[in-house]
Amino acid sequence: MTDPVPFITAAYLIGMLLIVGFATWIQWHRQKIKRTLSLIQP
Amino acid sequence: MKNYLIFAVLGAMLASWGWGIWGTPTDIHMGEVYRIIYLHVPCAMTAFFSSFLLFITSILALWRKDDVFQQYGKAIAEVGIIFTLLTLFTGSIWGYPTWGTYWTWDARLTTTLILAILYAGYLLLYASMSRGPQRAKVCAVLGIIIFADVPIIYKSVTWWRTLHQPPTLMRPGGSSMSGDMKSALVTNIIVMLLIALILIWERVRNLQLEQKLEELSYRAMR
Repeated sequence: MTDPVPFITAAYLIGMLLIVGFATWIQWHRQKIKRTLSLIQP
Repeated sequence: MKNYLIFAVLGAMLASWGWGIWGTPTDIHMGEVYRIIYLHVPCAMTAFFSSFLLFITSILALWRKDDVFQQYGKAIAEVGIIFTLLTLFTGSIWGYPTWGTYWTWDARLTTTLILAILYAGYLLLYASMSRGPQRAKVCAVLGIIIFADVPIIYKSVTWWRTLHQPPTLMRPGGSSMSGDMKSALVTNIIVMLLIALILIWERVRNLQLEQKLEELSYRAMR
C-alpha cells in the first residue's frame, strides 16, 4: 500500500500556501494602494 | 476589519486541520489517506458556497445598478477560483493512492474543472471590460451560469457512473460517517466558510480603495 504521509502533507501544504498566500497578498496590496493614495491625497 | 481577526481564523483553520489529521480515527476502507477529506470537502463546499454568493450578487447587480455588487462579484469569483483549484489539487492528490491516477475524465472531476474555468472566465471578462452597466450585465449573467453548474457537480455522482464516491455527509438516510469524523469535518467546513467570507470582505475593501484611487488620479489629470 502507498505511504499516505507524503500525499496528506502535500495536500495540506498546497492548502496552506494558497489560502495564507492569498490573505497575505490582500494585505500587501492594501498597503500598496494606501501608499499611493497618501501621495495623491493632501 | 482588524488583522487579529484574520490571524484568529487562520489559527482556527490550523487547529481544525490538526483535529482532522491527528484527532480522528482511521478510515476502515481507505486508511490514513482519507484525512485529506478535512481539507478537500471544506474547499469544495466553500467553492459551491462562493457560487451561491455570486448568484445573489449577480441578481442584485442586475436589479440595482450599484458598483459595489460588481466589486463583490469580483471578490467572490477570486475566492471561488482559489477554493475550486484547491478542491481539484487535493482531490487529485487523494486520487493517486486511492484510484491509482491523479486525473481521470470522471463526471465529478470534469464538472468541477468546468467550474474553475467559469470562475476564470468571469475574472477575465471583468478585467477585459471597462466599468459600467455593460460589464455589470455581462458579468451578472455569467455569475448566474456559474451557479447553475453547482447542482450538476453535486448530482454528477448519482447521474453518471463515476470513480468518485457518492455523498457521505449529506445523503438520504443520514451520514455514513462516524460521529468523531463528522464533527471534525463539519468544524473544518464552518472554519473554511468563515475564511472565505473574511477574504471576500477584505478583497472588497481593496477594490473600493482602488476605485477611490482611480477616481482621484482621473481628477488630478484633468
